[in-house]
Amino acid sequence: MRKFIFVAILVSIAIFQMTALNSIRIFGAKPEFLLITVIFFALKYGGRLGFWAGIICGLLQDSLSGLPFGAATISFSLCGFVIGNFNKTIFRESKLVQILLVLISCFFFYLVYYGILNNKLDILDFEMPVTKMAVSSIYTSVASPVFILILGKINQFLNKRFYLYET
Amino acid sequence: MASTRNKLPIFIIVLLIAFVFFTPLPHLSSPKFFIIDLIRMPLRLGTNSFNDLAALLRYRRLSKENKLLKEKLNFTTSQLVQLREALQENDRLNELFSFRKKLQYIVVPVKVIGKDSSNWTNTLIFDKGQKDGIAVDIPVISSAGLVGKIVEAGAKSSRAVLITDPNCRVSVIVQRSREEGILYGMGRNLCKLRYLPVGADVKQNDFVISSGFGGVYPKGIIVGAVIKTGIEDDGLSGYAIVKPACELEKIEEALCLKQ
Repeated sequence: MRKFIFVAILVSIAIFQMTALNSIRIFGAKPEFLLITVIFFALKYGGRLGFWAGIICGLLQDSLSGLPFGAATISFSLCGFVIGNFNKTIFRESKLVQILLVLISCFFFYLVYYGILNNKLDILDFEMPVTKMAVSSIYTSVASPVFILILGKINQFLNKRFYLYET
Repeated sequence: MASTRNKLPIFIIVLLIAFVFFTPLPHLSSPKFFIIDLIRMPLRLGTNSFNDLAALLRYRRLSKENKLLKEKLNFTTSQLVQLREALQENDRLNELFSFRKKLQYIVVPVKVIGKDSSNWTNTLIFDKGQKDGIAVDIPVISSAGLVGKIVEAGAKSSRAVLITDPNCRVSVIVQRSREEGILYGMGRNLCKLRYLPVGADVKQNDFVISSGFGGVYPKGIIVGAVIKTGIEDDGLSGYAIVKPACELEKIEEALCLKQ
């Protein structure tokens, strides 16, 4: 039941990213809400849950986008796992730390995406749009504290009702 | 040294990297539709609810737009009658010269159940797939013009790449001057018509239509209108910026053309 609710939350976030977030685009870029969600779970509950959140969010992102399959799954799960394992050693409540982590993760995601694109270059060929990468990463990282705050509230509410992440 | 608790995630990540880098791209897309089919119902519900909510928020503007559209419809209806007359005349002339060539298409109406979740590609997910006869490379149109083509088809859903996607190429001609070129997606709802000769006769507001070369898109489908022209940085060819005829960001229904 807990696992089902956890997956349902992530599916809802993916649908939210596909619908409502399209209306807050800046220069064609929207925040990577799924990536922020992974970082949120990693910071709050550690590497194991961060990794599984990364796998599920990555699979959703890969399935619901035209990106080559695996780009998001690999980068999200790695980000969730690595950040989650260091969640006790960094000042995770700091907004600046959250912004920096999201910025680095976002760049990492885009680099993995281009790595996979280059690997499959025989059918896809377009130059790396550095400006768009920068705009998307900065927008996502600047918006992350707000999203993390909202996720925190939702998480607090659901945790009280369903004791979701108790081990 | 990784602890036992951390061994499983590391093992899965290594396995994933190997799977993604050593699997050919066409095989990589099959798991996508397994997941899309799993969440098909919430996806459709979520998209519909959001569209309804957005429509409620835009009620005043939509009301004005509705009035304007009704007026336009009346005007268009009268034009349609005239055009039918011209079409009949055209048919008669075609028969006379034995040039008539009928393209037979079976049209499959599809509904958009999802839009691209990434910042990098412009694609749409439709509610019909291979079971309804949708296959890869089928062109997708709307009443306003060319939308794109199907790039991936699952059993009950499919994905179309829009003409504004950087991966999409369409062979087109400028309707007035018959100049040929290749249309590239630029993202952000615009396309770039490239490989025009320097000094090509292309002006603002010229209509761009599909040329039929390449065999994917039928000839004569309206693609968009030129909004700006220029010469490439290397000075060897010209280009034109084209605004697609249909509003691709607001599209909710489309038609797939089966030959």
